[in-house]
Amino acid sequence: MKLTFAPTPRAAAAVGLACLLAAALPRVWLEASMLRHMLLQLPLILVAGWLLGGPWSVKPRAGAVDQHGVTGLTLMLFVSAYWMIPRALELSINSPLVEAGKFASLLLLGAMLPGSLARANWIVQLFFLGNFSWMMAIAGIQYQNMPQQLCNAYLLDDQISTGIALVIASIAIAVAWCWRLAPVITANNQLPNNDYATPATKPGVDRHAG
Amino acid sequence: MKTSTNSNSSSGLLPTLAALLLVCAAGGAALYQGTMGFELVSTEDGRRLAISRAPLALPAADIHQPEPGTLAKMLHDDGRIAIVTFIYSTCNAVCSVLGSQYQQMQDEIRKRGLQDQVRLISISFDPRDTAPVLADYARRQHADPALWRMVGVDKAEQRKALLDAFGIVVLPAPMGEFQHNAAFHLIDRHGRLARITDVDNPAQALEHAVNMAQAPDDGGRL
Repeated sequence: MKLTFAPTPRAAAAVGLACLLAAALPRVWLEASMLRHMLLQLPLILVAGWLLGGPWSVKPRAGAVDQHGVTGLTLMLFVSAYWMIPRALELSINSPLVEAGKFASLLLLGAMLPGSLARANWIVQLFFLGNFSWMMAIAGIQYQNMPQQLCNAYLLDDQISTGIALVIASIAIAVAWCWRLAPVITANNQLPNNDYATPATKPGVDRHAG
Repeated sequence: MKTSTNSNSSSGLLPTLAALLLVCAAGGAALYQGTMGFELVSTEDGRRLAISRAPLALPAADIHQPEPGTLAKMLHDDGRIAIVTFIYSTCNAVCSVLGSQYQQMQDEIRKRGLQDQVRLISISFDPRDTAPVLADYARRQHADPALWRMVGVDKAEQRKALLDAFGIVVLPAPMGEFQHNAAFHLIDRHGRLARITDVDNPAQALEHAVNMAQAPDDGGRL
């Protein structure tokens, strides 16, 4: 699970900045629809944070407060849960403070995730992935089943398509994440009985910390 | 080697635990705030709960009802509890249902002799609803002016301020219609928005209004 930043840091930062601008400048248009708001603007901010802050988060010093990636992955659960609350989502349209909080929280999460993923072993990752995907899928199902509008600013049709998109996204994220984890899990399973038996790895040494 | 790694990692665990605690505390507080104490998730429920916790003074608005005046004067000089809904006169969807509900409520108020306790007000958010248009709409709805007024707000910025204060969001919908969060808004004797009830249950709105009318004055004028 080593995250290599193949593009030069400067190129990654440039793309990250472009994502941030793409999320911020057409803000009114993006936020006019629930679907664009949740599944275009929010991911754009997250990716911006990832590309701008990611190289910093994989450094060992960042790992001091994020051993096994648990801090960043817990942050992921809270931030994603919060912005799936329809009332919070709608507040961000009307309140500059909440809007600033939305950008800040997703940038921070994006910046932390690459490091956390690099530090978390596959069991930890599966635990958080399960929680995250389950929550997102349930939210998507709820959005589709609610007979009333969850946000006053978004029509019911928009809410239903957002719900469908959330379910699709939750499945897609789970598949993509498992796809990335598959080689690690396979490598572990080929060993007799356990995770520490590789001669190259000393027992008791945390391969993932730092 | 092994012990030193272990002791390093166990003493190094503290910053992670502290950070984790911080994330959980901040995240929990945010979720608490976003759901108003884990009570709700929708904006409309939030609007209703906020009003029920703290009655809201309404902004100034020049209105035609159909004769010119101000909303504050209309509400303040009356002494009755007002049940307010927002409409536009060309509406074919929920407002026409609201219209017939108001007709039934008007009959109910007359039947129970509550004319001096409760009144009905329909406020239009559509600038095309001028005084004559609303007067015509009132005739079609068989509105009794003593009980049920159709009100238009003259100035665009005051209309927006009023809608914002009530928390009404009007969205353009297909076929030249509007979609908006419809509800019964109960205005207390001091002209404050005090309660919001469900549009599907006019009987409940009327009961709340009667209760408010018969409750002793809470001194809101101070």
